[in-house]
Amino acid sequence: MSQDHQTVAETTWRRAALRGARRCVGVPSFGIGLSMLGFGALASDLGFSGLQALLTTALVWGLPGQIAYAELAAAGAPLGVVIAAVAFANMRMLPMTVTGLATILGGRQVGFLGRLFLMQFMAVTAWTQMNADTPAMGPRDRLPYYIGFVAVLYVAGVGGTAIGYTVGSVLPEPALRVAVFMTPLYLLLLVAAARHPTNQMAVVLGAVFGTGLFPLIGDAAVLVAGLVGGSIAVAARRRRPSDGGGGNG
Amino acid sequence: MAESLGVDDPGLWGLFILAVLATFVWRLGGVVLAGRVRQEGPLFGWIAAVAYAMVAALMTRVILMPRGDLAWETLWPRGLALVVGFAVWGLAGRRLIWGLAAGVGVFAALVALGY
Repeated sequence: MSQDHQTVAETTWRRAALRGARRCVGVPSFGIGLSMLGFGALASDLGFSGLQALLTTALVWGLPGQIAYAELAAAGAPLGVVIAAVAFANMRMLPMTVTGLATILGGRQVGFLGRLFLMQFMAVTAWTQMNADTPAMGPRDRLPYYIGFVAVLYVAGVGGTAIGYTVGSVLPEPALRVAVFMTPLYLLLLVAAARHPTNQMAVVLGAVFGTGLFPLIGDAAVLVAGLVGGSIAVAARRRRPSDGGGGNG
Repeated sequence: MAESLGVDDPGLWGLFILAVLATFVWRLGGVVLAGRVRQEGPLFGWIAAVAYAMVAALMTRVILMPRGDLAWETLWPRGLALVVGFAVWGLAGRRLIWGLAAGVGVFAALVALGY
């Protein structure tokens, strides 16, 4: 009886993981593969060793921070500047981890180190994709779905870095430019489809503030746009109680 | 092409480890915080909205001004592709694949034309 139970659980787990993996094949893995290919080519161009290029992708796993690190370390910028730039560029990992963890666990109990390990693979693509896909999914399916999705994404990202490092400079520059254009557009379209009106408004305000402030304050614009845009969206929607407050849909 | 950074340079590895930690702290902080924030509460809703706004801000900037390039010659083809992508996405009943195909298609065409 309990054995039967276990087999059923294993089958559903495997099925959800496969579904997540399959979801990643196509635009998400292709997009990340190409973005990381661009990073690999950049790292090679800047004179990094192949091992460091790969480890940067594998351990940082957040492209803006990776680029900040590679560019500034290669330029010989002071240590404090490099660290601050990377921390700044990848700061969005904090709100994405807080909300992403709740989304993928679906009420499952996972130990602290397990949660921390799972979140090592959380980045913008997985976060937006999970927000888009999981509401239509049983809570128990979400964790295996996430694991399947990020497993393929991670292989594509690290693989893309390796390919970019070795042959990236062979690719014609216009082709690379078009390829690298795809991922941010894909992710922007994904977040624009946010279910909750507060988050829809946050997306519009974030895009407007982020673009408008960037020429004035540089990379800090992401942070300011996020905090200000998100706060205005929450405050504006709170005046309309019919919407039912915040949420992560 | 910069000169080689030196694979065995221990200083570079030290800097590398610090850069990895500079990302890790946010994930660690997120996991710690996630256990303390009630999912239905207003704080969680605010954090989610900030995350959405941050992602939108970053992605729009990367689309329009990749690597901080502010030149109008590179900005307008990207802006046009972005607007067309979103217009088609809206007209096609918010089907992502149509918006993506239209945006990337327009950008590819402009790049092929030499813009």
